[in-house]
Amino acid sequence: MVSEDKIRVFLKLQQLALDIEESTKLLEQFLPAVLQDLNLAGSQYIFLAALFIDDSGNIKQTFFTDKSNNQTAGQVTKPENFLQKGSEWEMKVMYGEAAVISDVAYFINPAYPEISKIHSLLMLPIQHAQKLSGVLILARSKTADQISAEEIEFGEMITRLVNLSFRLQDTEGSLTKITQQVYEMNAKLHQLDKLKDDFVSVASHELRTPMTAIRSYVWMALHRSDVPLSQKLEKYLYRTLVSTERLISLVNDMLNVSRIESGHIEINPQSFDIVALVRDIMEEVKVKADEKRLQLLTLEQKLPPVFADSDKVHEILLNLIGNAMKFCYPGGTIAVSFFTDGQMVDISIKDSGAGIMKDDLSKLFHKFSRLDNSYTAVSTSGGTGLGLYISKSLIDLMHGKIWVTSEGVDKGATFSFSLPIASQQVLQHAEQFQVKAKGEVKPLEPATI
Amino acid sequence: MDNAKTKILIIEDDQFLREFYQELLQGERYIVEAEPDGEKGLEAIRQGQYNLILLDIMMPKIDGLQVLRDLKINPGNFKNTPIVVLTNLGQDAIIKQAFDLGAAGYLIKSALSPDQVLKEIQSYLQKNP
Repeated sequence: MVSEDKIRVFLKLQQLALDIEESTKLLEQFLPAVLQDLNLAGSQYIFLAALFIDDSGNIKQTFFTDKSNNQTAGQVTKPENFLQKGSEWEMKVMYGEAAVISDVAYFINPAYPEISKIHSLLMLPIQHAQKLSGVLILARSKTADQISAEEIEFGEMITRLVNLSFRLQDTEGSLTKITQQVYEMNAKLHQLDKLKDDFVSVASHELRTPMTAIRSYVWMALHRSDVPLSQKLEKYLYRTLVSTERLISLVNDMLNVSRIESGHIEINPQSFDIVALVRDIMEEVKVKADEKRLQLLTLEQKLPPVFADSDKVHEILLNLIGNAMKFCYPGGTIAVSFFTDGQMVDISIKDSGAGIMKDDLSKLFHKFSRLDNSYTAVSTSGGTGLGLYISKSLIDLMHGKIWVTSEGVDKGATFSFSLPIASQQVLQHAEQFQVKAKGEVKPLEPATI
Repeated sequence: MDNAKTKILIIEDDQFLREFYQELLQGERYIVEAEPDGEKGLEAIRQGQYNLILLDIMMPKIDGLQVLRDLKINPGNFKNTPIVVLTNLGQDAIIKQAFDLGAAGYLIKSALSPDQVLKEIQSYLQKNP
């Protein structure tokens, strides 16, 4: 049995092992305290050495401490002799037993000034995960026969602490290293991400200048020509114009997708009148609708305000109404209607246009979801294949839903989305509806219709 | 107001776009002058008497925002002529800065068709005859 005061020493040392903060030098700080406390508790040890081995039995790390504390295990002892294969003491520690050695001279360098005080060595196995991971050596001033079971038992308890400290040092050392590596990698990724963002921004601006020039001159050729255009030439120019507009939209939409996906978009919800917003947008698109002889209808009704980011909802509405206009035949109708269940407001945009095949309905909200079989080919529609994906991403960020119904090809389509009503309950948790941008806040490029 | 008596200054570094806006506005019988960079643009603003100024942002030598800043410090003969920013930069921060520095309007080239640009210009001229 280990006496109570020794248990107190053990607990004190255990706490120390856990408290030492400088993790990479944990054992260097811990072992002198162990030697000191053991001697205070009545033992008379000249030095304490710890040898740690790797899986193949080779010495990995050594520690040494005595009262002068300025030598190393290699200077004072012959470490390899402790682990001499097949030796009596090696066999003992291999099986987890302590060995008491009298032949001090075989292990200790004769130059060690305190050698004359050492009369025996207590060699204790340090085990980790049921395997020998090292030995703890205590240089005793007493002879080998003057050893008690209690001394060995207490020594074995101490090896557990030494092992714990070594593991703490080991894991903390590598954890610190891994953490540092993760930080470095993260910083590098951030840097790359910023470079990419900057590149995308500058490139898209550089792209837009010549594209604007192309579009402007084609427009001039179509509308300000000083010679009458043949029907063919007019068709060619018109197609060039539409394609350039599509290219500009594509650059804008790709910028928007990149901003949404990298989290640079902010959602700042406010209470606002969705019906009034729809009314404004219908006014905005009226000229374009007139050109295509489309009838615009808003089935207004009195509704409570919704809680969303009105700029983003503006973008979504422009997108959905713009789509409806693209896929409507001349003379068709686009109607916006509302519905509420008291919690959400549904906004539905119904067109009398080309319609969608049932099988394609679920594919619509994916990136570049071009549908060969039902939707008008993208080239003539002027779409980018990104608008619905952008709308869905924004609606998701605002706690709403988007869905589509269609009776089939040529039977029109209805796109609906929902937004939360600015109820007392919603306003109380307003912060949950806000989305902060990661890093720099970037706006959405305006949707073109 | 009679277009033929309305003087518009365009400051735009891209030659094709500069000449395009010039031609577009001349087609509406406006009197149009054009400068290819911020430095020359600033000089023209300080000397001339215009009814409207169209100002690009990204330009060599002095950019559009700097033109607005310099004009505050040393306006020369410049007196409250509306300056409308005409650019392809759509960042909120830049738009806000332009308005803070006294811009009367902000038009994004790629988002507007030429007739929409004309319409906007006419509405600015009507507000500030």
